[in-house]
Amino acid sequence: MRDKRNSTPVFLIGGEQTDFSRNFSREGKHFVAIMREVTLAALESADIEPKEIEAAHIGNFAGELYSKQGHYGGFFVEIDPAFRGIPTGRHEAACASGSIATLAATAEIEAGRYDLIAVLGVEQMRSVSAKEGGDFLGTAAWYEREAQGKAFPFPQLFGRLGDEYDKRYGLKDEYLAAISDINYSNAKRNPKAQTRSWFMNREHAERLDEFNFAVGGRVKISDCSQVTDGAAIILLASERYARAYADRRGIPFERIPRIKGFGHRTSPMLFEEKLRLSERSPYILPEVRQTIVDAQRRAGIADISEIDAIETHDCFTTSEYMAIDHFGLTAPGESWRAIEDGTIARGGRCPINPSGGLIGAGHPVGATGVRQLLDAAKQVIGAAGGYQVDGARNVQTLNIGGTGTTAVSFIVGV
Amino acid sequence: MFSHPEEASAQESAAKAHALAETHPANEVAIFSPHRSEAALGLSILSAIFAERVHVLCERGEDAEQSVNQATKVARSHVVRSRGIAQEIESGLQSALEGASIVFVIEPDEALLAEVSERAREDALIFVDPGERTLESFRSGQGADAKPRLERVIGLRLFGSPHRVQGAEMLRSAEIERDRLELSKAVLTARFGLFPVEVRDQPLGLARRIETMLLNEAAKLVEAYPALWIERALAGETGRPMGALSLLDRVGWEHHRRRANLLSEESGDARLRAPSYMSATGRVHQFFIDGEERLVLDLPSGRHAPIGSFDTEPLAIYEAMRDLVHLGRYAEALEAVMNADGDLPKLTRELLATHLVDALRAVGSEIDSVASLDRLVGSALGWLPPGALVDLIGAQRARALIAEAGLGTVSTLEELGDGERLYRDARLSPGAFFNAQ
Repeated sequence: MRDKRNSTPVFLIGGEQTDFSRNFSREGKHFVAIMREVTLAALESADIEPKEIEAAHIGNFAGELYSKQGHYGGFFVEIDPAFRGIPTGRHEAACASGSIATLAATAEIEAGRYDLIAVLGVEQMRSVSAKEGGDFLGTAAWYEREAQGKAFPFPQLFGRLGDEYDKRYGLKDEYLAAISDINYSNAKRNPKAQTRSWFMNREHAERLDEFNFAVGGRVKISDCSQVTDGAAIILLASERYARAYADRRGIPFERIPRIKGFGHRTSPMLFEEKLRLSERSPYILPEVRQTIVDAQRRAGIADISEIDAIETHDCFTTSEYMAIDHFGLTAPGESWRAIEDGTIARGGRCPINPSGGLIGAGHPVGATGVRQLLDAAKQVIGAAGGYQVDGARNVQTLNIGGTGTTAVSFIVGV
Repeated sequence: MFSHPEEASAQESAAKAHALAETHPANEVAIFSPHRSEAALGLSILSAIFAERVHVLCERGEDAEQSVNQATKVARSHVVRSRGIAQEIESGLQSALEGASIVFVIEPDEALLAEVSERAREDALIFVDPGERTLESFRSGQGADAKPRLERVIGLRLFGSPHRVQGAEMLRSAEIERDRLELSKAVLTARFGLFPVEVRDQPLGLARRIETMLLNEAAKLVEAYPALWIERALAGETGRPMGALSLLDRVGWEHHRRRANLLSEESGDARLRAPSYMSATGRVHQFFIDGEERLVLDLPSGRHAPIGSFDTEPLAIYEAMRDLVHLGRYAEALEAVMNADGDLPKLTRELLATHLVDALRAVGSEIDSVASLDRLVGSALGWLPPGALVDLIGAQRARALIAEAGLGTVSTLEELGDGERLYRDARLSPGAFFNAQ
């Protein structure tokens, strides 16, 4: 396989997200309203005219199921008359849809096709009942073999991830509770986080009772991210555009965040197959590990010691637990050390999910990968407000589709 | 780049607020609420997140007990129960105040406020929700053995349960030091997620005045037009959580009448009085037992009638607006009603003009800035903030709207250039206030 370091940097010059606590369905809104709000807000805050956008890539997981509507690229054009005629398209890789859309956009910029591209991730999930939604989410796994007929298949699958850690290395549930507590606590500092006014603390996360009950093996309610409606958008630019933009806005060019590296891999669909293939590997999901390492290598970063913060895919606390050792913060199977010694907490050596992550900030599926990049960009320019990681210069993301089937990682820095 | 300069400033404030809040101890909270209240419910939930002990005190012990139990159910966590200490005010006051570094007192009388302000720890932050009274009205200490120590107390008017409604009005006496005020704001923001806005100390407060004035205008129109029309004239399509008359029902005719008549007596303006049909207790809307069918007041007959019995043809404009709101085209929705002919769109324009005038004229005298006004109206009332409304229809149109209604001028708008924006709060998206249900 060819391995080519990034030769053409791609710059993030703007972005926005909706408030992930909003229920657009209850507001009576079509998903195009979500797309419109976030796009116009981003253009305004970046001081960019709609007519400057040359292409758009949309990340969306299951619009046909939740909204009985496909062709999301076409809906981008509905946002503003200036978008009529631009090339658009939608990308899907389950919960990694937003990152896949980003990869497509970066490839076009690197190829020199366009100078300014919008990447918009969107999902409207609160339009259906919890039971129906759980069934739809099952299509991110191998539906007929892992999800069909099961009430909430994903908590069970990620509970299985926790069980595998326990089997190979030992896993105490108190560490999962700590992850939940950290992410909810971080979310309270994020004005767009879904759970910022929810009740959660360490004591609650450790309880198993009528309110915090098991939904999949060891996975309890407090271990789960929650469905919501939302969108996030980033504006990606070529160097030529970014330099001109910096001049126009009076911003030092060096201060504009850029994507320094990426990783992208795909594993077999079935979770049990993934586990079987990794039996002899120190990493339970070796392709996820490799994705992370690929991004670092492409960015010219030696290892995790040069990363100041992480926005990782904590669809469940077990997936963050996995991410800790797969990022190299600890040796394989010792993720608990980074929890115990405060490495991943706010103020730690490498805070994880300062935004609150999926558990705290919310997980509108198609939007998540884009939201992670937006938060990474905010961190490295010091614009994250109450959840700022002091001095962050390089932030790495990890966005996973299905049970680790698709894995995408970016490094954003200045 | 990723934020307006104003948002950048807000972000910096947020970071500082969290840092400042962490300097104040937060292990124990006391909430005094003589009767069960939404405010006490929400405060006890929010307190139990970070405080090891949360005292909830009512006049009757069983009210305190029920309050804690209800908070447990609403929060969906037994931690609220385990950290909550339900007590009777009389017997529990001393022990609660010994440990509490954050104290809330909800609609007390002078005696209770005096006792709390005297006996609380020296470093305690004490917040009093005066309800419809002024903070200053407690100063005389009428009926109490001692006067409340207002130099220790900050007024905090809440709007419902704080875990759902983040808006709040902050009132301060002349004696309050600036440092104490800043620390209080930081703790309220960082620990409780509240957005307190400083307002002039006056009966009802500013948000309730704005609400009462607009609801009263809508209520008066029911004497001339079908209630169903007035309900739709100012509803989700114009940035409200519900129709004006539904909101009136929720406030309650008795409360509204009292508030409107207070404003009328205070100003000497008879136009502000509640309409005469509201002299008795009633509702605009009624529901059958199963809640399915809605009946609406038909004032001429004095009875409630099914919606189908009203002429709904004039409501077509609002259906068109709803379709636009459904797609996120909020400015176009407002443009539609700005340009539409007919009595009903004209009523909508007049109501919006009245609201803009009442709200924006408060800037300078009752609240420091449009930004604060927008924060208050948006987060306390859940209404489209006035600045956002002006931005969506344009400054020129806003001036014309007010002129068409014969309401004079508003200095904030006179100074606003075309294309210049008033609304600056990136945390509350204007779109969130529009509803197409």
